[in-house]
Amino acid sequence: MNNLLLRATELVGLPVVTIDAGEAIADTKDVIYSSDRGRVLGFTLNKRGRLRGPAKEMLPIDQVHAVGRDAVMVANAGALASPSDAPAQEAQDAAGRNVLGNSVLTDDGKQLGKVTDLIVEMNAGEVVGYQLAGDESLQGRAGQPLLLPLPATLAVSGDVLMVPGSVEVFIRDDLSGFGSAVDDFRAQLKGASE
Amino acid sequence: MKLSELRGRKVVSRSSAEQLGEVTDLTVDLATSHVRALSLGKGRKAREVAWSDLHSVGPDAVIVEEDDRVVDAPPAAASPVGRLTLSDSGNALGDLSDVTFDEESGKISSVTTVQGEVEADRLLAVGPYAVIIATREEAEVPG
Repeated sequence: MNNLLLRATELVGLPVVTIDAGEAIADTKDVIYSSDRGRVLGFTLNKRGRLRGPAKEMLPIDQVHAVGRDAVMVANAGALASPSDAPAQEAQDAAGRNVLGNSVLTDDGKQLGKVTDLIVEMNAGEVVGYQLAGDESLQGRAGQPLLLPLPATLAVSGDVLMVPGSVEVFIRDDLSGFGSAVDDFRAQLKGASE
Repeated sequence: MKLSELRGRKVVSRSSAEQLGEVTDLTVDLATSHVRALSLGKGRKAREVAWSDLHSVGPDAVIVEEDDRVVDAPPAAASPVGRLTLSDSGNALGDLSDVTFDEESGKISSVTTVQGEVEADRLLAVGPYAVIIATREEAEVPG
């Protein structure tokens, strides 16, 4: 399977287009993300055109047909849900969940950096990594964005995300090859726990 | 025949021999994959003649049976030409530049995008934002 990795910020401002009518019914405003479950739950939306501004409706991930470079595709205009139909946490933005800006700390007690973006695997709607502004402690990489694979489960406190120390060798600089880094990291964690 | 070849061809009434206008564009009926109508003029003044009201499409002129077959274009009728094409996987294929169809039947065989010819049976919708194209089974070339 071709796993499509995208940065969450790249998913913002895309038109939501119906396949049955070729109509752009909204723009994505933000990704709704559940940090405890590591899942993308959907998108909050902006209205398009002259009525531009936040829309009441949201787009649940199970109504998304595909996410491409240029648009989020849905079957028809019925894909949008009113917030009252959606679980309470889906009505909030990723930004409101305060993952961005959080520090990432290994269980060896090393700070890796601060979260600047989420790496999302769109076929499964899963958050598989964070993009970090790397700390100076990471030699030669300070200041460069780093891509950090996430374990399937993650301890999160108010502003610190705890990851296994073994993650460091799986850090990558760009998205090509990042998918296999995630797979390798998770396989290694699985092996270690058995 | 392609729309680009037909564009600018005069439209003449068979009964009065009057020139009624020139072909500027066309609209499509996706349900049947046929040309729905030929457009004359542009914008708010656009008029059209239904494909079924054509007498012939000749090398120098399009012949219509009667003058009154050229009617105001309904506002919803939109041409796919010049519109953004978007695959159903959410990737843009560039603007649609031309339509190829059979000049006898009006059956559309393909449309032209920046990335090449797309068979008519892959057209899913012609909408106000985009023309939606079914993704082929084989993987798309990342662009």
